[in-house]
Amino acid sequence: MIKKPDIAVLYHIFYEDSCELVCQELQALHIYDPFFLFNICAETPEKITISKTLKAFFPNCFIITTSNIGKDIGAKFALFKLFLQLEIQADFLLFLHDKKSLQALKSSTWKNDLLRIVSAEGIQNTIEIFEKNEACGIVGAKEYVIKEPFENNELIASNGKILHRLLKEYNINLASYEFVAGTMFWARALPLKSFFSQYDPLEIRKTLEDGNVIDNFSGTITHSWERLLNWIITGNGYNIKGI
Amino acid sequence: MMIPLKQYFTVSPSLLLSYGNNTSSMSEMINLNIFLNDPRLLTSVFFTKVSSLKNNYIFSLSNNLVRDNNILKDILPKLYLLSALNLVSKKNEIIIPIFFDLPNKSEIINTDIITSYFRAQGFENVELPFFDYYNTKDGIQNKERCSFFIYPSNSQSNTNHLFLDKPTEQNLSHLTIIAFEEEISDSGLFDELIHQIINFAGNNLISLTLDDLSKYYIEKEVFEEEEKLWKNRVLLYKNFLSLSKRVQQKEYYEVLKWYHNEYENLPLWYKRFGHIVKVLMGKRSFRSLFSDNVKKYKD
Repeated sequence: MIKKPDIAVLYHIFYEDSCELVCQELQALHIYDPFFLFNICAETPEKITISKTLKAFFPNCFIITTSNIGKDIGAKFALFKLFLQLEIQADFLLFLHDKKSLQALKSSTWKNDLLRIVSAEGIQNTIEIFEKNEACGIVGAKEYVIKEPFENNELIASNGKILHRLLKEYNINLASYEFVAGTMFWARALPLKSFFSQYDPLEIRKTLEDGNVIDNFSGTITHSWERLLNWIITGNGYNIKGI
Repeated sequence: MMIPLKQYFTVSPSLLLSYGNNTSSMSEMINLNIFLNDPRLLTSVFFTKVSSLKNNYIFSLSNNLVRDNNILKDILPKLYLLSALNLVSKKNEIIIPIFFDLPNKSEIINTDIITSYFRAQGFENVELPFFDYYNTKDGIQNKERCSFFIYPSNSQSNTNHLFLDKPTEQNLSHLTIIAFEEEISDSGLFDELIHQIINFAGNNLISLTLDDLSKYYIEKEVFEEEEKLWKNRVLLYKNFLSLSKRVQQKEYYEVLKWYHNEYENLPLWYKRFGHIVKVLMGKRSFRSLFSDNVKKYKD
């Protein structure tokens, strides 16, 4: 009998109307019997109803409520701290959130593309990739595996300066500046566990911006960590595969 | 004396764990005060147990946990997670009572470390009322929004203090922590004592109408909080609308610039030749090369 991989899902919910959709999205994962860790934003109305719905669909899930610091990135830090505290043994992690990006022109297709990784086929493909390719650390939707612009030894986009500072501060050395935009991806748990055992994710969370922060006009620490969540893994010699 | 209906019954982590997976004997209606006095008890098993609770709960600390800054720094992230696991924290405010287990009143506890940690994580309102385990002769100790009462083992005479007043606007958010004279480690005894207190309360609550209860106690509080969240949500969506305009305007000019750089910069003869190539590839109608009144492209 083939052993099923141990999976933990870290999901952030911000919108009051997304819970049922979230439950549908995760249907295909049930056969793998994963650990479900949810964060509901403190600013979200109807939290009690959302919580009851989640508990009905995922009876053994863990649910936390946190303030809107660092948007989904801050939530993922809090969820990762909980993951460590619960001593969950997982091979792979799945980072998700109820992305809407209402300000973006492409918002309606963006989420659908990113969610390809939780379709039954997407899950199977991902597990196969991880099992066959030891060097693969991240699997995401292929259209969203992008490279942070880099010229003359400089990261030149709006988050560039912050990224340089953080890479130095956390001693992350990269061969490539690829990352999965949108912060929905599968990842090997080991490099993240190793990093966040050294650097407390709640301490990092403190440094993120409050509220509905965007990086369309200037760089932000939050969006820089969107990249670094990938680079923690690729900095350890792993690569990213798109599906 | 203003005494609320919100009672939080004190349990130790070990008592909580003694219920195992079966917490059905403990009513979900009981609010719990989980009293933490040993950092070693904050294990993954304890967190899993707390996560499965359907009861409202707060947690309180023994002063030995907050006296030592090193212990405190170690447990702060865990205390934060315990708060985050608690849906009661939906109001973005938190009460963490601290109990002195030694009659040393001169001791000064630096609570700034706790409040600043929680503030940095987004909990703006953290209250840390201090209570003295050794000063219970007068019955109840009252702090701003929190009271503490030790339930006597042998006599129920003092329990009259607990359920005297009707809930009002003023005492709505007030909570009372009920501890027991001796630490209870047996879940059967705990259930029995809770049963006693609840029965006593039930007899005394009979004069309250259901309207009183729903108006002042549960629904109003939840409703007010939800109303506030919805108002903020409306403002957020309004903000999204104005933000969308700015972002999409920026994206529009970026697309125009891209078009200009990629296509418009090419020489005119090259662009015209490109249109002929499009016709040859079947991507543009031949007649549209000579007239603006025919359809250029297929839908």
